[in-house]
Amino acid sequence: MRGLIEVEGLEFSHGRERGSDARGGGSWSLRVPELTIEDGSTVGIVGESGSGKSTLIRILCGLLPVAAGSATFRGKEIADWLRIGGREFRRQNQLVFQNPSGSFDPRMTMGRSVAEPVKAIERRAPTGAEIAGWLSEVGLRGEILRRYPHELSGGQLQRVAIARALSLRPSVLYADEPTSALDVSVQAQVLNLLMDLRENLGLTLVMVSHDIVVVAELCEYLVVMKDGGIVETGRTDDVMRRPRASYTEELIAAAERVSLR
Amino acid sequence: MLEIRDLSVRIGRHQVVAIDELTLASGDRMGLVGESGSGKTMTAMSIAGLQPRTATVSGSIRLNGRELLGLDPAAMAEVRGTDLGVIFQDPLRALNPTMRVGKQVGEAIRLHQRVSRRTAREQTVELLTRVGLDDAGRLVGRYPHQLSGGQRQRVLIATAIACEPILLIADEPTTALDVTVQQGILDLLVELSTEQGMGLLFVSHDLGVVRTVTSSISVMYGGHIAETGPVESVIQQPRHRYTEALIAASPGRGERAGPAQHGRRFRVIEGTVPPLGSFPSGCPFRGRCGHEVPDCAMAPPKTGPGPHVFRCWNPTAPAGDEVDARTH
Repeated sequence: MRGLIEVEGLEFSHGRERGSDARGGGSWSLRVPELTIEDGSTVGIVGESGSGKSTLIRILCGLLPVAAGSATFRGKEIADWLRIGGREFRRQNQLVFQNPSGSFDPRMTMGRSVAEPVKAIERRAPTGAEIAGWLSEVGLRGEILRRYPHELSGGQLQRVAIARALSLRPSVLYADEPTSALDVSVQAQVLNLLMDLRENLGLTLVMVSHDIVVVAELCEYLVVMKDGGIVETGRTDDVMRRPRASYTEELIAAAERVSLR
Repeated sequence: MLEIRDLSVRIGRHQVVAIDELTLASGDRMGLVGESGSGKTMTAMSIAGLQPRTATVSGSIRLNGRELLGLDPAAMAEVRGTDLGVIFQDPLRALNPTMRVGKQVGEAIRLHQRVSRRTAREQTVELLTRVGLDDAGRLVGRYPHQLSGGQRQRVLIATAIACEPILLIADEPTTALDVTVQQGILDLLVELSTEQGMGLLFVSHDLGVVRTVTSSISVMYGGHIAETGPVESVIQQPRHRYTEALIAASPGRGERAGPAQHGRRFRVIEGTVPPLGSFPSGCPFRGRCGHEVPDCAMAPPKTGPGPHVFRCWNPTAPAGDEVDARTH
């Protein structure tokens, strides 16, 4: 069986500078010899800063180019999807970011923000009923449509961001640390929402996190990354019970030490 | 050592902190835990005299018997360099980007001790070594951006403990760090506190992190202390409904049952933390709680056998006492 997303011999490198975290220069590169994501699966990509987890999903979303090797979506190179315009590719691959308040134009009402992807990709204005429907899918009421980003809480904004991503009925939802900026009491709501949506819509969910505990609770498969490479992949149960890489053990031990169990 | 009475912090019309009592004995470590808007950081900053200019602080904050509220800025700065050390979440912002690390630590030493540059330099290397930085002799010549996040936080700790404070306030000191780096910093704080008999007020949103560092814990919500007590007692047998819910909602709390499929879901706290000034009267957790009784509209009294006390009208059953005694 072919995977929905297949990566082979993928390479990508940033130049000398890499954000404010650059320490004494030097280049950083991502190398992924092999990775397959099956249709309908939930995959958690775990790693610390500089591991390449966010870079990897940005490549898979078509936001960063493939420097060498191959990355395919439905059997076709992502670069080829983008070459023919990329609208269908973008419709099927949506991304939700860590910081919900940075994902919205502060001068746009929620209603306008939510309508943007359908306008841009499907080239039509969604009806009010459609927009209300998307919001109700994420547990929000229509009254939120007239509000501005600063009037909503972080948890509400993240729900709107998810509703907006789902408005295009994507095949894959990528979520980059979707709950890290949220309060503990709100985190669980958003994680539950992601699980509901996945079950109801048959989405493929790829979630990136620094927190192996959160990811292990949500995903069937784990990909552990470090310094631009994949350290270990496998079914969540196997990875958590019998980690093969010492780095994975280290991550689990660090997480367990501060767990409330 | 630290004694807080009737502390009130107001910003404009809004009361953001209302603490009737909070004490920390010499050398003790206490965690101040809460979500955004709980008032934990405002409390810590008020103790250090670093609250925003728009805030009005009243009540009493005594450090080793000395009243800190009402001190002029110069006197307060003096306290911060002698009896009180402070470290923050983001070490990069707390360090001067244009100054070599060694010079910054040396300045902290020379600001409060009359020593020569040379002695200060030697003390700096000693201090950096003590906070676990190998090769301190080489690190002193580096700039903050050339260090890793964990190294920067260690440098900041070194500046904070340079004058051997009796109290160190640490506000989310590991939140910006990777989990594998976090451990080392937490261990270091415990070690320094034990070795120097230094009190530690550890502010964090993360109950699990606090548990590994402190002996007691105060859980804040809506500017009030909901529950306070020995850390294991509070985490194993929370009595306040907010503490109970917060623990239950923390991912990784349950048995590890593998991926959450087939309808298994996390326990949630309904609603969202209200914005500043919008907490309900009476118990601030009212409206999100799910265990409300009519009394919750009034301010809940302090209850419980010390040292574990809580403010909740309808608390969880105490351990080993599933049936409420009053029903007999």
